[in-house]
Parts: sequence; C-alpha cells; structure tokens
Amino acid sequence: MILKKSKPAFPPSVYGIILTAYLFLNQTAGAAEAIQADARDLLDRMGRATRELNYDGIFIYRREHGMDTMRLIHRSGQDGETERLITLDGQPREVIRTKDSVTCIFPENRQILIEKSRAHKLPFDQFPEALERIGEYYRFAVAGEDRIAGKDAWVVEIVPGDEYRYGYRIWIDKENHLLLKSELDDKTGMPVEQILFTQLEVLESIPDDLLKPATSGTDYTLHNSSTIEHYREAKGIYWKTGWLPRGFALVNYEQKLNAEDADAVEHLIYTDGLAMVSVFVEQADANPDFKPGGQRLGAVNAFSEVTNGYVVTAVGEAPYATVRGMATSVVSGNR
Amino acid sequence: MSEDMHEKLSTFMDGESDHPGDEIINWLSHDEAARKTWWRYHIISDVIGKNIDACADTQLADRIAERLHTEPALLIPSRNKTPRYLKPLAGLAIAATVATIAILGVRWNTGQDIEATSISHPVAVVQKPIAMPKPTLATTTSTAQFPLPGSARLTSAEANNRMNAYLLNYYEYRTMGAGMQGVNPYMRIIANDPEKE
Repeated sequence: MILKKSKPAFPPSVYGIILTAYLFLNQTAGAAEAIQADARDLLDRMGRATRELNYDGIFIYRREHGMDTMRLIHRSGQDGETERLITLDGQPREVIRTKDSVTCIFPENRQILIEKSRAHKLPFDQFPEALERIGEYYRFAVAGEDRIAGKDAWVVEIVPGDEYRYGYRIWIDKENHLLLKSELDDKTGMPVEQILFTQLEVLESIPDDLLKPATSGTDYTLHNSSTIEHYREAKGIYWKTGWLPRGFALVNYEQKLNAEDADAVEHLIYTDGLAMVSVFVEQADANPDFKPGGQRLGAVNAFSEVTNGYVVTAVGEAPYATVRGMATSVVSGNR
Repeated sequence: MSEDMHEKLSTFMDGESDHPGDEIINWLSHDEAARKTWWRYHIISDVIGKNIDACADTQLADRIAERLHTEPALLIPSRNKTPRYLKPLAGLAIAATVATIAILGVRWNTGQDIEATSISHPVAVVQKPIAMPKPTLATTTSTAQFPLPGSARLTSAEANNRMNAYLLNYYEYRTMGAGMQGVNPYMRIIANDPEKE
C-alpha cells in the first residue's frame, strides 16, 4: 500500500490564520463571560461589604435640586448593623439605624421620628438569589477602572433592558469592595442622582460615641410609630397591580395598623431583583393630607391616586412611568 | 455665618464677580469656620462630576489668612476698595479652575467609548456629561426645571407626613437586601431642600 501524501487544499498560512482566528474568538467569548460574571460578583461582594464592615466616610449626594455633604458611620457587630448618617450642610439632620429602629432627627422643627424596624421578622432570605434573576432584565459589565477618593476602583455598569428601570454605574473599591461612587441613570443614560465619597476609611471598630445622636432630644417632639403602629400578617391578597414591568413580582404583602381601631395600610412590595417598588393602599378618609399626582425625591418617584375610595401610592427607586403605571393599575381582589 | 456671606462667596467662586470683596476677605481672614466652608465649596466644586481626587489642601485657606495678617499694611490710597495685593488671589483661584477644566477636557477627548470597550480589557472610564445644573449651594435657589407634571418635593422636614412614613417603610426594605445595595437610601430623607430654605 502506497501512502500518498495528500496536498493541502490551502497554503499552510491560511490554516494558521483560521486557527489564530478560532483561538482569538474562543478566548474573547471566554473573557466576555468572565467579565460578565465578575460584574455580578463585584456587586455581590459590595452588598456584603456594605453590611459587614466598619467604616466612616464623607460623601456628596447630588440630585437635580442641589447637593449635600453627608457623613456615614457604619458598624457591624453581634448586635447587627448600626448606622449613623448626618448632613454636614445646612441643618444637621440625622438618621440612626439599628436592628430595632430607624430614628430621624430634624433639628429645624425639633422633631424626632422613630420607626420600629422589623428586619429580623421579614422573609428576605429570598433576596440573595435575586442577582441570579436579574440578568434577564439588565446587562452587567465591568466598564473599566478608575480612582475615587484616592482609592483604586472597579467600575460596574448596569444597563436596563427597557425604560421601566434605572441604569447604574457603580464604582467599587478594589481593596474592600465598598461603594465609592454611584450614578443612577435615566432612560437616556443621563445621571439623575450621584453619590461620591471624598473620604472613606475602613476601621477595626467604631466607638459608641460616634453612633450617638448629636442632640439629647430635649424640647423635641417625638413621633414614635412603634407605639401606635403594628403589623399583622395578611390573610389574603386584597389588592394587586393590573400592570407590572416585565420581571417584577410581588415578594411581600403586609398590613400596617395605624391604631387599634383603624383600617390597615396595606403594603405590597414588588421587585425585579434590583429595582424595588412599594405600593401602599389605605382608605381615603384616613389620609387627609393626600395630594394626587407625582412626586419626586432624588431618584425616588412616587405617584398617588384615588381608586374606589382608597388612596393608592406607588413609591420606588424607579422611573416615573413605572410607579405611575403600577399605581394606576391597582385593583381590589376578593376580601 | 450669614447666608448672605455664603451667597457672596458662591457668586465669587462661580466667577460671576471679579474679586471677592472686602466683606468676604474679612470673613475668610478672621473666621476659621468660614475658611473651612471655602475649602469645602472648592472640594465640592472640584470633585463633583469631574472624577478627580479630593486633593484640595485643607490648610491652604488658613495659610492665606495667616499671610494676610502678617502682610504689611499698604499706605498708598487705592481707588478700588479691594487691596491690589488680593487680586492675584482671585486670579489664582480662577486659574486653578481653568487648569482643572483643561485637564478634564483632555481626558474627555482622549477617552474611549464605554459601550465599545465594555467586553474588552478594562480601560479608564469616560465621564458622562451631567444633566443636572451646575452645583449650587444650599443657600441659593435652584433654577432647575422639575420635569414631572404636578410634581412636588417630598416634605422631608415634616416628620409626621404620610409620605415620609411611606418612604421609611420603603427604605426599611431597601436596607434589608431588596434593590441595589451599597447606596444608603436614607440620605434622601435628610437631604436639605433648597426650596424650603
């Protein structure tokens, strides 16, 4: 048997080019997957660092009406998270959050608002998986590297799939994964809200004094919602939205009582895994301050209207079209 | 510190006046808190939207004040109320601003498009133009147009307001793991509202 050496169909150089192209494309596809995974991993790490580290920083919060400089002190320990947020411009307002309560201090009108926290009672075990779901509605990418407040950072870009959710650009500290800067973008990609840390230190421990309010509360009017409000588990779904952006789902339904004999304020919580919208429903008579229409606070939009004698209000870090669409589509179910 | 002085300082820093005026000079020269304010306004002005490090010298204002105190008095009458030797200070501030803008301008022009590079090797990030008006101080009135029909500011100072209760409920869930983490939502409740001041 004579083995005849076959002649190649193409010159060797052509095969070389094809092989190189194959290897390049294969490598590029692999790199794209790796970076996609990295973006979501970075966000996950940022979420954990935000909750688990001790830190003290100063940041600038900017929105369309102006900006504020604020100080954020966060401690994580056996007692859970404790956090103190103080405005450094104008009136020295404060928010102190513990595992039991949220306290807001408004010195200009000498009022303190305390809201009881129910974090440990809520079924939020379902949310850690949320990042897995949201790939269908957002595109994640590591957009580059940057330097913020003297720290090296990864820049993660989150692009929404439609106009019913915001996009984000997040600057994450390479060393400890805390957030250094964020931009929240509208559907045209323009920032509607920015946060920028100018100073951020991770600390071994946070002394108690740093977490105490600046005021003793003397001469302040106290509004303690924990004494006049309580919650009960809903026995049925009484209200529902007739329209939702794709990917949004109801994740919690609760009834909040303002007084023993008052009707409940019903609270429906929807999320697509990243954006979150609350829908509140209460009887119109119980809400004399009600003003229909849209409102806005930074990136948070709200829309209220009356439906069959009930005030329906949707509130969320989502575009105006989203909260308006949800609020105006709410219908009552079977009581 | 009066709001009037804040506004005059803001006007000068925005380049709307050629010199700071005697009042501002005296204020900065004798009031340490005023110098801190001056420094903070510069920090805010420099870092917002421009993606540069917060590198302002916190001692600079103090050193300028000390220099002014030790500067020998000029006995030559001046037509202008502002001492001539202060003119370079104003010029320095303006020049520094121009230099910053020039550096940023180079970065903008040489940056690559984010969309085109998002799947390739990480590159320096290009700053998007800011849609919001230029930074304003809390003591000045914003001229920004509010885009929503029937819009109104949420009344952050009214502690018993129903909407604030809704917001607190909403933020309570946000801090527990729902929604984007890492961003403290309570900042929106205590942020100062220029329209109310």
